[in-house]
Amino acid sequence: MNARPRSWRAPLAVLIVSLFSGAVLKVVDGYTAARAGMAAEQHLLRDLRQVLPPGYDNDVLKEAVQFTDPDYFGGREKLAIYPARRAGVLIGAALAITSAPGYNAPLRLMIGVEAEGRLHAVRVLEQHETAGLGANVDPRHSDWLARFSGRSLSDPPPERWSVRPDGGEFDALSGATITSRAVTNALHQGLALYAAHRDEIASPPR
Amino acid sequence: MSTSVSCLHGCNVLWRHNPLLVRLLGLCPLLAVSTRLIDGIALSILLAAVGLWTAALVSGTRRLIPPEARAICRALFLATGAGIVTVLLKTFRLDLAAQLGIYVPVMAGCCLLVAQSAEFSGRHPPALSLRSGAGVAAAMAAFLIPFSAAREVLAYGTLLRDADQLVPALPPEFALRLWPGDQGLAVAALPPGALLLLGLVLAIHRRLTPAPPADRRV
Repeated sequence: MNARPRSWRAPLAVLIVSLFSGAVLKVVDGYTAARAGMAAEQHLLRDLRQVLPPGYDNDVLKEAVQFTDPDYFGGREKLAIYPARRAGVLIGAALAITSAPGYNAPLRLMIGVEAEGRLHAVRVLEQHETAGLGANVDPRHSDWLARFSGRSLSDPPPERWSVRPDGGEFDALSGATITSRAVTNALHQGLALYAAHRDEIASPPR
Repeated sequence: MSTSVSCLHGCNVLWRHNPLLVRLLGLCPLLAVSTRLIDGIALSILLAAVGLWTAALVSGTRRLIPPEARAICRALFLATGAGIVTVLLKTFRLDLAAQLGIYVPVMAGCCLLVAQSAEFSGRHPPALSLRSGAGVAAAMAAFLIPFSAAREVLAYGTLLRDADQLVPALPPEFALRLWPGDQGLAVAALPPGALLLLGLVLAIHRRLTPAPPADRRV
């Protein structure tokens, strides 16, 4: 077998196939990019609708403010706050917040706060906790998160704002103290961050 | 091929030579994403799509690509297919994409690449290769779907929970409840439970398949 005339064929074939692969992926990505962005936005809007107090009439996504806070991951992580207004008056806000690590990983939560600082509702955006135990924080599995609705920074007082094993007021999910602690502390932090940054979103952007 | 022979062939691919059962391909995604029936179904569909895409391209280009470049081209075709379904999943079924995450490409890579015999697609015309590709896909589905169904029933007492993630027309609370409440054997949803169940299935498989198959190629 004469090896010489064949030696360039293999690399050439790989090159052509690579170019083909790249081109196909580029085309698919081009066709879907706009739709994928829309799908992600729809999901965000759905999550916001679930946690914000009802009756707002502003464009929550457009008025979202990104900020950093030294108390939130030492100011290294950005935080998004979504203000909800009715006729220009702030009636609440939502914060997309990352908790301290739970049992497996940090949890991402969407926290809805009423204007005067009461927690309205919470949704779990992303969690990797143990199925059947920690994963039960998700409202799809249990109503554990509902107990925080209506609570605020002063209710319960700060020293009681934790899970029962830490001397706090809130029962932990059975078998999932670590997850419950991470979520409870994140909710308290969310309320504190809202209080600290309320003024920045108090009036509508001009 | 007569009907009985192809039927026997089908049994062999689905049970006796099932790549997931015989060679334990794809253990990691198996443990991670077979907790709900809907995941098993979705993963089966996606892997079938990637498998058929790869088989079609490999056999379609078999005259153009020299033998020494076939393996790498095959991997490239497969990676492209996995990339496409991942992008499409993110676009059209975001919840499911979040659930299955990295496991579609992982499963495609570690399982399809090995299970689908390279020489077969490379030597045979597309129609026959597609049939072999479909066989591998069916074998994976034949394992994944009952396995994830069993885990969901044991863990939650439901079937097809979160089916709205695959079929958005269904209501979000849709699920076939076999007993009231949401409690079951939580361990079934965890990796240890998957291993226990897998061990059980393997034991039955080995028991019913007398001698180890001499020819391990699918």
